[in-house]
Amino acid sequence: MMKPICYLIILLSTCLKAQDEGHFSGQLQINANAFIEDRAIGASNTPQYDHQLFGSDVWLNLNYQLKGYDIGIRVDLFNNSNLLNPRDSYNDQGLGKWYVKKQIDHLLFQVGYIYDQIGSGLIFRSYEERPLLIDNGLYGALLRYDLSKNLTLKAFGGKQKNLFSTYDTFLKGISLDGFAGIGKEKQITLVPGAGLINKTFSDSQMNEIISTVRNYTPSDSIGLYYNSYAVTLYNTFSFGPIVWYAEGAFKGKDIYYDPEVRRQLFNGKTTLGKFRNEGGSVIYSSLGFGSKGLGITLEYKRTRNFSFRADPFAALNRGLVNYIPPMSRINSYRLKARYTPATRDLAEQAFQVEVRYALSKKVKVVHYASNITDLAGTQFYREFDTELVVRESSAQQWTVGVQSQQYNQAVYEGKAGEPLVKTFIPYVEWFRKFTARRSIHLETQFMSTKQDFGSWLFFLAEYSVAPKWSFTLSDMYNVEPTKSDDLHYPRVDIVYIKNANRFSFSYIKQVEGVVCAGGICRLEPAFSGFRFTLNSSF
Amino acid sequence: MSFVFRILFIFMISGLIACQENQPEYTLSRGEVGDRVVLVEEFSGVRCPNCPEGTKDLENLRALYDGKLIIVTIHAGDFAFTYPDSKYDFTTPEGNSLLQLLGNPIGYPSAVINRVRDSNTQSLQAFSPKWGSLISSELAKEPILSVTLDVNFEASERKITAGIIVVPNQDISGDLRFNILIKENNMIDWQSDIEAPQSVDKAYNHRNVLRVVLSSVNGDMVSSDSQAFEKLERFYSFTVPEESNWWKVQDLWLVAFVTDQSGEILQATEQPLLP
Repeated sequence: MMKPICYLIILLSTCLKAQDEGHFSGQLQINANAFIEDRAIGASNTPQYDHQLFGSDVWLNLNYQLKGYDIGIRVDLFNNSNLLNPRDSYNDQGLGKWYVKKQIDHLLFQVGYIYDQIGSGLIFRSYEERPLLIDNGLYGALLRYDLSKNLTLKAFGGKQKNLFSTYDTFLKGISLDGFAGIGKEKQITLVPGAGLINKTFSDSQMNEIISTVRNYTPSDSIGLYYNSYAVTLYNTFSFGPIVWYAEGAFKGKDIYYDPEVRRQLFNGKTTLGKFRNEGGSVIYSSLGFGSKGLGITLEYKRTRNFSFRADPFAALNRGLVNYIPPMSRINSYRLKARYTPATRDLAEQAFQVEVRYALSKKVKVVHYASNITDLAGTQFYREFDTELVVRESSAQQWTVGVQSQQYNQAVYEGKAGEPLVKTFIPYVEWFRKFTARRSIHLETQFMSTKQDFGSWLFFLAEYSVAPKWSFTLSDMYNVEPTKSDDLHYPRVDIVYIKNANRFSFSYIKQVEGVVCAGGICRLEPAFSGFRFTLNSSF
Repeated sequence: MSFVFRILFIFMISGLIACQENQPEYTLSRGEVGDRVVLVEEFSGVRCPNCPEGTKDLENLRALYDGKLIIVTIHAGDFAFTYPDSKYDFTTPEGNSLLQLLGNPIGYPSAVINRVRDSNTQSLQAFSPKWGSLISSELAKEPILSVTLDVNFEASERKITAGIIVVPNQDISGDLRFNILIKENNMIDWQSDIEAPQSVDKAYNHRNVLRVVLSSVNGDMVSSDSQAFEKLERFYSFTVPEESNWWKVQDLWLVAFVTDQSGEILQATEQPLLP
């Protein structure tokens, strides 16, 4: 803990000495949970429910800009936190990140923790998703040089952050991004780019791999390499209302763990899962068309063997070097978002399409479809949604729609033998503004399904007094339960906003389910208790 | 524009040029083993579909390392609840306490190898890809003490008396804790299994299942600073409940192990109740 405090003192003293010249800013985020055991919903059997009773997560960012320098630190504190493992307790604190950035003419350099990506992130993306405690910052150095007005070269190297340490793998990358206009008035624009990333395992990692694969039978033995490479080519084409993005990423031989292939054992039996050394690819494309009253977005993705991690032993959402975009949209309605598919990095073929059009000035329609399979055509996920938005006036709006889903619970939640979850969800939302400050928002959804927990009914009422107060009451009710009694999952939220401070206080009963952030998902157990959050900017 | 594409082309060609390296070589043979015996606490559950795959992996490693591996399967956690037609409930209060002590895994199958913490995950629990290397690394260590079990069984009273005898090979500072438990083999019952029809095996042979911990769950402290070659011993007794499909004395094994101040296991041994 001493190191961050030293950094903090140095930063603050620098700021105070030069406060007339520079710009100081920061953000504070606090999550605090009080855990109240509820065995009926499965909120139990973790250290937090058993005896710790309270947990919190704190992030404090401090940034300072002075004479072209941009410096910053972040202090992280986790006390009985359930973010790393929702079933266990995580305690640690320290310096979450630091960086120094400087622009010198056409050159930008940065050292410390770097958050960046190549293309859409298929071969490299360092990013943070706090709800899942993903923080893949690259601890190293980055150089970016503008070769010309329309051409930028970027190079970086370092080790991926792993909580308060780093993975041993060394990552190096380079990318080139261009811009070109075609035609007299440059009606057509191209934004092409290319990138290369190299991953080098350390000796200790290689020794760990060897001590694992040396126990394999000859039929499963693999050749080993310290280095693996991935390249990507991408381009955005724009012409009038059309925007087309295409990217192809290819990975050479790379050691990764495949949990879905069989491995021969010495006793003649087989088991699931083994290390492989194979290449892979991802093709991703999106096509958008937008004109007055009509918008169409079409996306396609095909993934083959593209698990690309900083540690071959890392699992779930740990050690991810890259980011493969999900092929389902983020649903804000509670029941529509209950079954959300996570990206599959070994074998996935998917498309999604959204069509938006206006029937009149007041009525808009949105159609959405998504289909996800493996490369052999096994159904993973399918969604159809049609939504009608009726804006009667600036003070009143209705949204009605219906969604249907097929969700492969065995694949996404590891619940072998569970049938495909089929849902049908009609939903209605009403928003009414009574005065310039006071408004009410009501919504209800009904999920009809015979699988998993059975059918659900959800109701939410939110009363807002802008710009400071918001009161929300909701309940998720298991109307046709298949696994438990007909339980209620109520929630009450009070939000208060004062200038740049946002306080929220909630009482929550939350059913077990998939939680997604930025396209990455994981299965979270039920929650019961109180939650306080604070977000401040200064 | 052509300049942009020329540069991009050169960049990609240079990137695609294969880089040569000297491949690390290895032979398909188990790692070196000495006198160290490693304890694997496998966390499982009757409803865990992938756990039988993990068990097969562990049994394969046990065969590979000539029995230098002791497996104890603990039914506790998210998947440890019975089917309506299950004959047995393999969960135990001690198993639940061990889950609290060793930490809930984020997924299954998961196992704790000699109670050594993985520096990358900050957890004692490890997923199956990591088991081979952790076990190999632990087996390569020289034991700093020896553990033997002296078991006496009075069949008429079904009473077990077990002595744990520990002799350090060197001076050891800090606490030494003795642990002893009973596990049972060959219990045929339902088990979720990803490979079985409808993902359930109705006649699965449950082996190495934890039945009872005779010591306290986190071990009984026997010594705070131990001298080399100074014998330490402690005796435990237990009356085996009447046999009713389980608690079959011919299928019961005793497992004893010693943990140090940090909780890591220094050495382990196992022995069938009936020789």
